[in-house]
Amino acid sequence: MITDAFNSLRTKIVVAVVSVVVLGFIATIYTISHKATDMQKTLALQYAEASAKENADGISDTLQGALTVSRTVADALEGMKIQGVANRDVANAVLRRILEKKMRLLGIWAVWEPNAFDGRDREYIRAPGSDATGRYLPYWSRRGGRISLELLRGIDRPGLEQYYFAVRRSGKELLTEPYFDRSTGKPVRIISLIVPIRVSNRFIGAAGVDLPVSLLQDKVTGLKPYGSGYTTLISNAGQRISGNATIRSDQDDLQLRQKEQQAVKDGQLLSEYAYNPVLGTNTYRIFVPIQVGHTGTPWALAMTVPMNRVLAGVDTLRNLTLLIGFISITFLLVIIAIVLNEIVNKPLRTAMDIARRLADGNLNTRIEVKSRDEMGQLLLSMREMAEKITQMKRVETDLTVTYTQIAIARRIQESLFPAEPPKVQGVVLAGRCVPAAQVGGDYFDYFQRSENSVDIFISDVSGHGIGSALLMAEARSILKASAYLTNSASEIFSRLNASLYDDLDHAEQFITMFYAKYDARSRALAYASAGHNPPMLLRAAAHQCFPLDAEGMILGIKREIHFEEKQVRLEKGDIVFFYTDGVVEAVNPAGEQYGTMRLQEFLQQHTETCPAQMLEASLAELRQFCQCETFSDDVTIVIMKVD
Amino acid sequence: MKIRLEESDGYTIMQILESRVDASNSATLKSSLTGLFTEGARKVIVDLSQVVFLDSSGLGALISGLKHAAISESVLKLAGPQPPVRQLLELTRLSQVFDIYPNLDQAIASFAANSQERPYVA
Repeated sequence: MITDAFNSLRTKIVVAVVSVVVLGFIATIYTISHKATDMQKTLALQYAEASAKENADGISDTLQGALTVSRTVADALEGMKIQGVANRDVANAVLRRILEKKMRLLGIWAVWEPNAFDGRDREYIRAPGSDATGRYLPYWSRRGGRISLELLRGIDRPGLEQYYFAVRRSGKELLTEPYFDRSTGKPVRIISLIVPIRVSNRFIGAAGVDLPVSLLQDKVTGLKPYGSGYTTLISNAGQRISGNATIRSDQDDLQLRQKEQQAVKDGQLLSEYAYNPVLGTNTYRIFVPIQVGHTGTPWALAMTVPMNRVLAGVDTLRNLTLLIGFISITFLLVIIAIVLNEIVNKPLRTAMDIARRLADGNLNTRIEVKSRDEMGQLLLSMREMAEKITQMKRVETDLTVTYTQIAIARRIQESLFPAEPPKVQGVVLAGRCVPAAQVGGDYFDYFQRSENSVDIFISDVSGHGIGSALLMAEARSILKASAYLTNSASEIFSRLNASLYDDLDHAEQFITMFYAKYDARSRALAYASAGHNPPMLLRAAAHQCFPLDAEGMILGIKREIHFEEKQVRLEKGDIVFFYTDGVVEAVNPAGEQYGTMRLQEFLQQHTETCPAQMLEASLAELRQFCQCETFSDDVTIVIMKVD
Repeated sequence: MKIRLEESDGYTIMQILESRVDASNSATLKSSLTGLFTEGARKVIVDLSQVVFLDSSGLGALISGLKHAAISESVLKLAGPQPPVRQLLELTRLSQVFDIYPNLDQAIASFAANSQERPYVA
């Protein structure tokens, strides 16, 4: 038989092992990935938060610094006013000097209410830093590295007026939204930090400094967490200052935007996960509030961390693990396949090959046993099996020969029994031997001396089978020879015993026999017995049974035995029933023996039938009694009836 | 076949603990008896009191025992045969060759008295 690759033992084992390994492997990778993701996320978030806070602080410092300058200017001008030494030239010089020192500032300016600074607006009409009405509106600006005094005009700065009025109204410091300054033609995006100037609780003007938005922009441009991440500065009103010009709004979700903007306005720390349509990945966003002085308009630094980049390391780790796992499993598979092939497949194939050859009847197959493991045991068992089969075949052959020989013996024995009873005037005979085995030890025969006289004998060699059959054949020969030589039944027995004694003694067997001589003219039946079951004489007249017994021991026990010869006169209708012990010792399923009593009853019920019918009836009755078709002992019956 | 062997005071009692002695178990009886004599037993009593049925093969076993006893100049006695067995022994006239006692005690006593007297006279 050829097993295909998919059904082979090896494939099954490999599949089982690999399944387990793969399952374990998947579990391991899942766990590692999961843990690594968590760790990596935590690390990334910690980094993002720290970085965002640090940079927010930096920006806060810058703005705070600018505010401080603005406060200083306000304080200086306020001081002049209070001390009554307000002088536009001095003030201009002070502002100029401050701007010269504060290199990062784009401009320093002041706005005074009409006639509020020195009460001399009329004198300063169109003077440097004063407008057509003489109102003091100095604006020192840095243009191309040169510092010049301009006139601060609301028209140049859309929005400034609003901021100014906001400060005037609230009396508080103000951080403006980014807005444009067009005073020099080319618009510059700036923010201003404005501080109110108050005297005696009355608002009289404001001082301000300008910062270029680009200064703040530079600070966030380089902040690109994980490469593709970015950082944005968000003003209180939601303007975005970013190094990435394309990102005006990176959040499509309106609700989320509102939430973010609210957090900025409220000056709250916010962190969230959100899908980022610009980056096309999930992001982690952290909003760090930036408070400047008492402005009450906090800004925020928003850092966006791309999760795909954060977890790229985890993906790499997972892919590496997968690769190593795949290589390991492949290696394992190859090793298992090789090992199984060596320790299971090869010996198994050998065993299969041997089994096949044995199955084909080639019992001389040499079976080498090399290993002591289960395979070795299997081969050892197969070797024993082959030996046993060889042995059994030999026994079978022997048995066949024996059966053949027994069949021959049976045919020979059957030929030794009389084919049919002799025709003797005045008497009707019938006889049958039913051997228990193929051949038996029972025997009966007739010896017709004349047309009016016949000898009947019946015998039983102890045991049954070939040995008994052989002794029976020997006894028959001697008996036939003796019958020719003498007329006397007892004389025949004496000769028989003498001749057979040695053989019987040697074989440890014995023979029982009954011999009867009937003379039809005188109706005399002379008989002798060698320990045989006494035949039943059924007297027709009396309708009674009488056993016929005579003194005489079974043959084969003693070398010399005296046999008594008796005689009885028969009448018409009398029946003599000769039998062997197989008849009376027949046992029914209940364990009871047939016995002589049942035999007598049977005979009394069949007085009218002829011997042949009686024979059939008695055998039928015995079978009925035993509830079986074959008897456990040889059964022999001879019946004679006086006619 | 179940057999109980009891040895005492120079004789051996073999008690047959079966109700039937036939072709199925007579071989064991035969080899056991033969074995006793080849092992040197001089006086053996076979207690048949439990045996209800004995067939020709059982007889054969006893005869074999008797012959081996004769060869080794030993004695084999039968004790306590039940009526069917006794009838068979009488029918075959084997009662003439076996020493048969109605019970075990008498068989044992026969050894003590060194008596040749037999309770059943043919």
